[in-house]
Amino acid sequence: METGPERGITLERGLVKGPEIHSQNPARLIEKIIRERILDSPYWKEQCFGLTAATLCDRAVELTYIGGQFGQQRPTPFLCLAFKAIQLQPEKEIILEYLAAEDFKYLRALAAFYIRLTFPAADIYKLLEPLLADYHRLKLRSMNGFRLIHIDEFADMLLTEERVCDIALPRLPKRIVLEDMEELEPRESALGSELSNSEGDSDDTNEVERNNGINSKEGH
Amino acid sequence: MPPKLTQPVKRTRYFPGKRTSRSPSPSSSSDSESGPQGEDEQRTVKTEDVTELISEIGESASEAENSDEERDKQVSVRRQALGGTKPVVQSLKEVNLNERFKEETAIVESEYEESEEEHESVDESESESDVESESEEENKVLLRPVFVPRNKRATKEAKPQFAYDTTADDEARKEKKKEETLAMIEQQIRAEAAAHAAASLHEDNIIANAEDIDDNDDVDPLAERAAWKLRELKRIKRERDELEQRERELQEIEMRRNMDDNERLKEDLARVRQQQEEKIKNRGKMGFMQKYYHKGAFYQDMDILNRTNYNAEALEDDIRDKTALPKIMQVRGDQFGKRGRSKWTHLLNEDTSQNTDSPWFRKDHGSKRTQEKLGGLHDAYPSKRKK
Repeated sequence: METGPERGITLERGLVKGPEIHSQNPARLIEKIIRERILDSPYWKEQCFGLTAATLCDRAVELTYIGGQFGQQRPTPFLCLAFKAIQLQPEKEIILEYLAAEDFKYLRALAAFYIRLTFPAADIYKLLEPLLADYHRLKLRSMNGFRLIHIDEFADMLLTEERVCDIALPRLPKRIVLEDMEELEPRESALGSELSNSEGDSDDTNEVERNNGINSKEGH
Repeated sequence: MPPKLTQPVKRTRYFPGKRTSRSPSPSSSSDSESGPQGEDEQRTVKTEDVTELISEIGESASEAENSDEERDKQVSVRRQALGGTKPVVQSLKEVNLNERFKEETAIVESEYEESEEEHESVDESESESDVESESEEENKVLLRPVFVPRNKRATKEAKPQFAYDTTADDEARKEKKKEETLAMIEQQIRAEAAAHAAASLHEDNIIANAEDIDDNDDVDPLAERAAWKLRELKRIKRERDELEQRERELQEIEMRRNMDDNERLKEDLARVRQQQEEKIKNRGKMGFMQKYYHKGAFYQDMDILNRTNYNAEALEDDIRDKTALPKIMQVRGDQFGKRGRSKWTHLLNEDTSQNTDSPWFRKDHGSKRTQEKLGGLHDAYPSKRKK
């Protein structure tokens, strides 16, 4: 895999040679303004030069917070590393490994972010929904300052919101649509077993109804 | 007090570097007048003046019918009054002022030298007395200004004595002061940090300082799990609600397709009516002279619009119930008494269309034709124009 912003005649900085993601140059996943800010940031210039997938992992492990921009529109190291990952375009297996790293939550968050930006829709749901069961703490840095967040909240944001960490996420079809197209199964929450056991009848019946409704639709 | 003279004598004041008007008598032993005035020069001028003075006095006295004895008495009296303790001179003519001056200055200087080693108060009194005597002797002797070092100055008496002795505990005092200032600074910083934290805690758990947020997961795992459960349940509920809404929509679409046009219209009207009723119900009552504020037609989806109640009064006036005021005072804000204020209140109040007296709206002969000619829809007369 050969990539790198340093080579080739490019009209824009940071463009990537390689397979297109979402039918566009991967670097365009991040908007031009923010991309320019990332490329001008000191963290990028110092730390992200000549990174490989392995060294990217090292840098990600050293992260202490996630976020988009802070202060005077400065990009966070998290964002810089995400952009570097987009440039490097590591193998799918590598990303999955990063996602499975239970010990390093910021690495996990970075992998999740990358997945949301680059992977196809069904894979996004399949890979990010296990994160909804992980309630480790994260620090989120924004223009207002620091905030406490959990991994499951972050994953939920990635799945439902349009803009996370100051990046406009690619369009993600709703889960129902994918269920109708039979690419996905209905979501089973990690609480599923506990729900049916401990909660009242109402929840139970509702869930049954839901499943029935979905099944009947799928039957069309 | 110096005795009054029959002929008032003009006192010559001494200005350094300036020659006095009187020329010294040739009999005096003064030096040349030109050049910078030395101390001796100054003194000799004075003595000359004094001799002149005394000679004048002597003349005036001689003009009087006083005998010599009386004159001497006068002199002696004067002399005693001036505070001199020297033996009285028999006659005025024997007075050798220069000699006397030299004696006195010698004594004064010796006194000064002694007093420098003595206690300061004594010196003060001595110098004071000397000064007094000097001035009273009509500028005869001027004290030579002697520099008194700071330690020995009399003015030091006036300074307040501090509680602590400066010379001894200097070091200790400095240290103590340093500690105090440090403590004060620390306290101030703590107060600032507390205020900062308190202020930022109000904004949706956003804390400015990174160290305030504990990234550590091991703190109270049970609470963490409970919080996670809550979040997960909320998510599930949200998904369920979405599903239900979707189903409802699908159902409604199905039903509508099966309906006729009329039924659709009926349903629409019912729906609109219901909406209006809700709006009126939620509208709220406006105050007596409250200004109408239109929210704007756009961005109705924004949640921020739901927060404020735009029907409530914006300003807090002193007088809530303006109906009790006279009509003139029923104005908004601070308009009362100001010039150029139009009394226009609101549209309904100024509406004259319902006023039957107005010729525009009366139905009489004159307006019939006018109304016919008017454009647009009006109820007055059906138009007779050919279509």
